[in-house]
Amino acid sequence: MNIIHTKNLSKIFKRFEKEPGLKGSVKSLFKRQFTEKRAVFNFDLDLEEGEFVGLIGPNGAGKTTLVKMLTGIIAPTSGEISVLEYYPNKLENAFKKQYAVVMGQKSQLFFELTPTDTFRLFKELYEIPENEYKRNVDYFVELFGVSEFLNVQVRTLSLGERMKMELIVALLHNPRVLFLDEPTIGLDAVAQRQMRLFLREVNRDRGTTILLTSHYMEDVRSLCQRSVVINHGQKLYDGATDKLFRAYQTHKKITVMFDRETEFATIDGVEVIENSLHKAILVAPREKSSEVLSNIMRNYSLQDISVEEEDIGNVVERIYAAGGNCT
Amino acid sequence: MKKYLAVAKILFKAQIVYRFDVAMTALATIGVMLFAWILWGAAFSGREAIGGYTFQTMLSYYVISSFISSFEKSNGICFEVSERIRGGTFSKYMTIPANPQLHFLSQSLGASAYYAMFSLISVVFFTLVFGVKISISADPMAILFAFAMVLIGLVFMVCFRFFIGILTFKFQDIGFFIFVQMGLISFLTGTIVPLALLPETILYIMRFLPFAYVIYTPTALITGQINAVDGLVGLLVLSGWMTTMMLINQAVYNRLRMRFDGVGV
Repeated sequence: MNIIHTKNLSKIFKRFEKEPGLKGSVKSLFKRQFTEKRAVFNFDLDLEEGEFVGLIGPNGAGKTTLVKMLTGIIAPTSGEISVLEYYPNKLENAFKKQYAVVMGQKSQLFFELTPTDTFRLFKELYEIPENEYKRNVDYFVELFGVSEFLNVQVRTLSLGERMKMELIVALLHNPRVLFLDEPTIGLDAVAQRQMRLFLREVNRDRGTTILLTSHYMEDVRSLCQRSVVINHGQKLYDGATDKLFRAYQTHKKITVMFDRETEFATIDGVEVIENSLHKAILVAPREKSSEVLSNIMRNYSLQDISVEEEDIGNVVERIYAAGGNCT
Repeated sequence: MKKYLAVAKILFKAQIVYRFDVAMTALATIGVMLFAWILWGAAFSGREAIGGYTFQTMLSYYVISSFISSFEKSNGICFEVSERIRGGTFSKYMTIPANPQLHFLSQSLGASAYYAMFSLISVVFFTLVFGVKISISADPMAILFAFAMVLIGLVFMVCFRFFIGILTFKFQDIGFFIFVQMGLISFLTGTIVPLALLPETILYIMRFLPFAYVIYTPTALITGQINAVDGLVGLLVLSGWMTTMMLINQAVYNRLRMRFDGVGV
């Protein structure tokens, strides 16, 4: 059963534009100029209950606009939209009780008070029965390992601890759909990994449908069976995440730190994007990366070396160039 | 209803977190009363009455009106709603199962309860230390109407300020509206000058407006300047305005929120 359905969904924003400088400002007092931006255009999406789907795209691609339409925060300009069989922008309470949204840089917690105070507030807002509330708090507190932070002021929590509390607040009422917008933004590697584990467990154990938008390819790669790539408001790819990464994440980023001043020599087929006496950043084809690594380790005296997945922007560019075709 | 009580409770709790701020809030109320005591003491030197007010009744007016205005803190709502709409964080009120207007109302009442508690302590302290004898009406109906009016007045003011705030959906910058309403309200509620000192015609018109019933009329009822019958009329007018304002807000909100672009979310 489709829990989320959109067809030809579009959102067009009107933006005020003015010429630069004082003259432009004065002129705009008398004559306004507006331009239109198609943030989302003719977007089709269907999600089944229990899916964990990644929404990928560079900045300004339209990811957040899409999430805002799905949660009812903004009204679409045109097209069909239905979430849990509701029209989101009607903002009916019955609808709002069945989903949750967590935006990495926005908080539902009261910073002056303790997480428990906010949990209690949400218990009342979502009319959660006392026994269900207790059961859920116990479950999530144990899952996230945050029992020692329940009665301390939120403002004193680290970003990672706070994000865990945000997730608990969002999950207390057992939402059927969870929208996550950059939930791991700003978190260190350990916290990111923990967050991924929790999300996987929530999706698997509770059957919560999750739509995750993230800049971090690793989030999507390790969590989502299915990915949707969006750029300039349009869908470029919708399919298996493995297939997407196999087809388009063709390179690895290698960062090398030298332990003394070193002249780094170029390697055939490897792009050097930064080269200084102490550091070099390279982009190597995936199949060549182990050969490149052993070459570097053999020929240079290193302080540190790290290998990362390629930046999302490059991947999107490649998908765009290929017209989203994975075959 | 329980959910809005929870919102009020959490705002009350948030107010009492910082002890220094709590102490300063209480002192500020005493400061306002002290200022009035010195100012009107000078104005009344050598005079028995000004505009029908004796020094004692004038001070009573100030103590009671300062008490009421100390917890009428709805002005911040204009700014908060406006900032949240402009910054996109208003979305937080759109995604939870609660009516945003009632949410802000509960928030404000929770904060008011905190200020009322400390203002009451300050009033008692001031009257005891400075030996001010506050004139209080002997009519229990007048006192009852005054309390009802204070409560309804608080609700009305929150709704009025919420209305100004949600105009941001349409106008983006509502600095002008905020500036005008602040000036008007200070004058029309009797915070600047006791309304009895104003010309008859203005007073007649103001009988049909809600603002005088927020601070001035309940103060006058408590201090015995007007009787319970006048209070009842005020209560009805204010209740009518409150209901109208709530309905207008709901309609305006439902219409204007469609323009929300959630920028910054």
